[in-house]
Formats: sequence, structure tokens, C-alpha cells
Amino acid sequence: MGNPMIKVEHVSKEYRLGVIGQKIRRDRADGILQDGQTLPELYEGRMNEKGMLMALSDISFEVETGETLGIIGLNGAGKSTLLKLITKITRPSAGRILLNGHVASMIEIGTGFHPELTGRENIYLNGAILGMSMREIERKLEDIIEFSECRMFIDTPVKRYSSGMYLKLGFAVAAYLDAEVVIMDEVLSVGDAAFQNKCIQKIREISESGRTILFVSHNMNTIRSLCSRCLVLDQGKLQFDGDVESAVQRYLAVGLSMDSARDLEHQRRAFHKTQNMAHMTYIDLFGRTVFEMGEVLRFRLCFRVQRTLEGLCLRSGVWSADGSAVAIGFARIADTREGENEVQICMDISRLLPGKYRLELLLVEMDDNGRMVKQDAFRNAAAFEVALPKNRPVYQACNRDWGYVELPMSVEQG
Amino acid sequence: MNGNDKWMYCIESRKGKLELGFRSLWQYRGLVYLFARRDFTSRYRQTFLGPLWMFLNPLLTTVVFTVVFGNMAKFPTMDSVASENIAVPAFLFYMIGNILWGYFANTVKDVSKTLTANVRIMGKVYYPRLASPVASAFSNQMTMAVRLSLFACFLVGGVVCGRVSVRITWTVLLLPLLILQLMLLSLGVGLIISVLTVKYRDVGFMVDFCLQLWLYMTPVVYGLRLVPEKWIGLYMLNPVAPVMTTARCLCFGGGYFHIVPALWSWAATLLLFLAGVLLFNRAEKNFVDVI
Repeated sequence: MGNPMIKVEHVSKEYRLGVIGQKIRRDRADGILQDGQTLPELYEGRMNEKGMLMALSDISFEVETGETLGIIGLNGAGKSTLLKLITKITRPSAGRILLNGHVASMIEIGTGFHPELTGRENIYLNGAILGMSMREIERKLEDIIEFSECRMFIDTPVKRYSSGMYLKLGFAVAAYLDAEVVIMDEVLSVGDAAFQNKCIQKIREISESGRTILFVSHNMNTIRSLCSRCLVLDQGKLQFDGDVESAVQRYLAVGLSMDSARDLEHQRRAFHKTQNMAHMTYIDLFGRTVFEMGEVLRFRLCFRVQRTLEGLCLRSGVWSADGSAVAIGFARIADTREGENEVQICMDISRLLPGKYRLELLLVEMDDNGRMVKQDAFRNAAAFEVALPKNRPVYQACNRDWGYVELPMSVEQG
Repeated sequence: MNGNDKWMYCIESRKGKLELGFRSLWQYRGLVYLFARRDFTSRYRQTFLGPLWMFLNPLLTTVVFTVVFGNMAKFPTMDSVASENIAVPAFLFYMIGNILWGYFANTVKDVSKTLTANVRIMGKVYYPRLASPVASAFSNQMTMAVRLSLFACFLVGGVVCGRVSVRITWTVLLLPLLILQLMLLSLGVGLIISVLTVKYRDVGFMVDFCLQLWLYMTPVVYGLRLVPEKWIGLYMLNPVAPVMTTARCLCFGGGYFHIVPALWSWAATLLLFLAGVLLFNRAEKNFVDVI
């Protein structure tokens, strides 16, 4: 057992909904909602008895010194709240966090830059905000300027910087922090590809110097390449804590079912609209979730429409389990009638390489001008797996680098 | 893995603990300096007259005060109720009052806005929150220092030319003590207001009005002589009033000074300052959620 650096013990954080200081109706848990309105499903089941929203509930984990811990989760899962607690920006409602070193955060690059001051002056200011002493900044000033690639403009007010330069300078300051724990929230959306690589390199260096890093990102590949362990947060709860690959799979599978049939009536939607004309209710893959390469996917889809829709179409996207869009299918649904409808869909997935995929389903209505209006959407309507056929051993070694689709190819001689 | 002694820091929900937080503020003294310098230097960037505004501002106000309150309203510019042997010229009288009051009022205003004005950055990074208000007090002090040097020029110039019948004595050297008091007082008042503004923005709207009222309750635009003798005791409960009269007494080598109001004023200053800091540190922990 190594040296623990951070210990989070049963931490919860609640937020009040609605306008503070104005009367909140105590009899309704959801003070801000008008009659008949419902809470977005993302937050369903996260209200406690006092009518407070639980942004985090009962989180516990430990981080060892020198670990690079990834934190992933959908928007609103509580990642940023967790970081705000660890950096003391706000206090937990319950539980406690124990730390064995200074925490420095790169929560938003370039926060605290003053537009009227020059780049150099802002390095001092930002460094001091992040907890560096004046002497420390002076010592690192040259390195920071070098890293930021902004030397030419260093004595120009930052209000004249391009947004890329602004972010580069911000990252450069944060990269030279000396704290034992460094917290990074989506910092790698900075600059062009070359600069991003430089940043990743820098983060590796920080990590190799034995410091602890908490890293939040939506980019699974960065998480894979940087982190040694990963947490998955979902709806304020710690869903998974363990190795990176399983965590990534877990994250991508949030709400992903491997059942062959699924009731969609009350499931979480990818978007919200109070009055949608069409509503998917049921999907049935006829008892199958594993297909061999070369097979086609057939499924039964039930949906309800408010009135007869002329131009109702189904858009069906295939996504790989690691989060890349692979392919798309599109078909018009003829003959819808008011009320319940049932259609059978056939989708040719025969060219997909072995691996796990999920199906995204969208009901869209095409109006007379060819404009699409989204009616109902599921990010994860169903999941399926393509298995390796016995007669195609060449795909045995298939991995991510091969892509997802096999293109028909033949040799023509003559 | 049990026991807290192994851990350096503990972040808990506990809200009640009162801390002054001066130690962490000292660790971040570089930040206070940079904040103060930022406020000070960025204020006059991209202006045509630049730092000249620092002089122009009090000069113009002083001229207005001299004309309106001195020449038109004919307020007395004397503090001492007893027999007076020093005739302080109205211009100098208004100038020193104006500079000191300007410092006090501006600091109260700036400090009361710190939490609301810095919420964006405070929601992203942690640093001792007290650094922001203390820095605004210092940056205003830099402005005041420049203005005071202008005042010194007028004072010395007047004495040398023999136009003015004031004495410059060693007591002038005690002025920094009053400036310190003014700083603590304005911080205290400003911090209390800033805590209240977090929850109720109404307080922010009241600040300007209250400061105006406070100005008229303080001997800035008139000498203490205007106040009837039987009310002096009550009048001096205003902690800024003794500061003003004492400051003029120190600068002009004579005027109104009594030890009781001066001590009372210091006591009130320290009390307000401590209350402000404690309240601020308590509110600071969760204000990001509320604001």
C-alpha cells in the first residue's frame, strides 16, 4: 500500500433549486417547476426530502500519491462539483475530504486574466492566483513564456490576443504549478493538435515527477493514454472505480442495454421536447444481440404518433462502443396512423467488423421543404455485438486501428 | 488508515468555526500585491490624460466644495470650538477632508462589491478570498498616497509663500496611523456589506445612498464648529468624525482633538474590522453556491 494523497469520505453536496431569497413553496419538492412541469429526467430521483438536488451523494474513494486518476461521466453527473469540493471552492454538505498536500487546479484555463494587462503581467497575476509565490514565478517565467509560444506578444495586453494564444498562455502558467495534487478539468481542448500533443507530453512529465493528477475529460482516448485508474460518475453517484478500460466501457454503456427487447416508453431521452408528435415505445431485436459478420439486423419498433404524419422518417446511427460514429441508415416510414404503430426494420450491418456497437434511433419528420424536425431520439436504443465468423480468420487480429467497416474488395485480373 | 494526524488538510462541511485567516493571507501576500497593482495600473490605461486623473479628480471636487460649501453656503472651516488662532484656508481644509473621505468611501464601495464582482474567478480557483478586498483597500491607498502628495505640495507651498497661517509640526508624521485606521474601518464596513449582498442584492443599492448620508454626518464639507456643543458627544460616536478632525489637527498644527472620541473611534474600528473579517470568512465557504 502506497501513500494516500486524497481520501474522500462519504461526501455529499446538495444544491437548492430555484431563486434564492424568494419564497419557495415548501409543499413542492421542486420549487422552480410550474404546475404540470416535470423535472428533466437527468435529475429524476436526485431530490432529497428537503427539496434539495443531490449533486453528489455519498461518494468515497482514495487516491494514492503519484496516481493519475481519470473522472468521467455525462454532463451533470457531478464531476465538476466533485472537483470544486476538492479545491475548496465550495464545501461539502456532508462527509469530509482529507488531503496530504497542496491542491492546484486548472479548472478553467486563463481564468483571472485581466484584459488590460500584458501577457507578462498576467503570468504573474495568474500564477499568484494559482498559489505560486512571486519568487517561484520569477524563476519559471522564462519556461512559461517558452512553453506558451507567445514570446513575441508577451508585452502586449492580452485583450489583443487570439483566443488560441490566450488559452496557450493560460495552460502554460498552470503547467508549471508545483502543487502535490494537480486538478485538470477539460484542459486539453486547448489550441491546435500540435499544442495538444505538447500538453499531453507536459501532463505525462508532471505525472512522472511523482505528483498526483485528477483528470476530467470527455475524450476517452486522452483518458486512456494518461490515466492509470478511472472513476465513473452517474447522476451524482460513484458508479465505478477501477481500471481505465472497464471504466470507459462502463461510461459508454451508461444507459446502454444488452437486452434484445426493451421498453422505451419511460426511458431517458437524448433531447427534450414537451410536445413531440412521435414517441418510441418499444424495440425488439427478435431475441438476438450477437450477430455474425455478414448477417443483417432486423428489429421491430413500436411508436405512438399524435396524428398521421406524412413525412415521418427513421434515422438509425451505428456507434462503436468506444464512442465513434460508424455509419448511418435512413428510411421513410410510410403509412403512419394516429395512435400505436409498429414497423419492422431491416438494416444491413453485414460489413461491420467484430466488436460492440450501439444503435441510435431518431424519429424525424420531414416537412415539405425537406427540413428535418426531430421528434424523438435515443442515444442508446439498443446494443449489439458483431462476432467473428468461423470462416474469416483474417479478422481474428482485428483491433481499433482497423476501423469499423470492411469495404467490398476484389482483384481484377486481365 | 485511521486518525486525522496523518493528514495535512481536512475539508469538512462544518460552517460554524470562526477563523481570521490572516496566515493564509500572508502566504498569498504576492497575490494581494499583484491584485492591488492590477487595480491601480489598469484603471488609467487607455485614457488620454492617464494618471493625471488621480490629481484632477480631487482638485475638481475640492474646487466645487470650496465654492459651494465655503463661498456660497458659508460653512465654517474651523473645528475648534475654543478660541481659534489658526485660520485654515478653505481650499486646504476641503482638500484633506475630500482625499480622506474619498479613500474611505471608495474602499467601502469596492470592498462591498468584491464577492459579487469576482464570482467568476472565485468559482474556478481557490485562493484566500480576503485577498481581493484587502487588495482593493491597498490600491485605493496608492491613489490616496498620490493625492496626499499633491496636498502636501499645496500645504508646504502655502506656508513657504507665507500666504497661509498654519504651522507644520512633527504631528504630521502621525498621519499614517489615521490612514491605517481608515483602512481597517472601511474594510470592516465593506466586508459586512459584502456578506449581506451575497444573499440580498438590495443592500448593494443602499450603499451609495448610505455613504452620501454618512458624508453629511461627518465633518468633511464643514468644520466641527457648525455642530452645536451639546450634540458633540453624540456626533463623535460616528467613528469617521474623530478621524477627520484629528487628521486636520495633525496637518494644520491645531484644531480639535480629544482623547475620548479618538479612543472610541479606534475601538469601534477594531470591532467592525474583526466582525467583518469573521463574517466574511464564514460566508466565503459556500457563497459560490448562493450568489
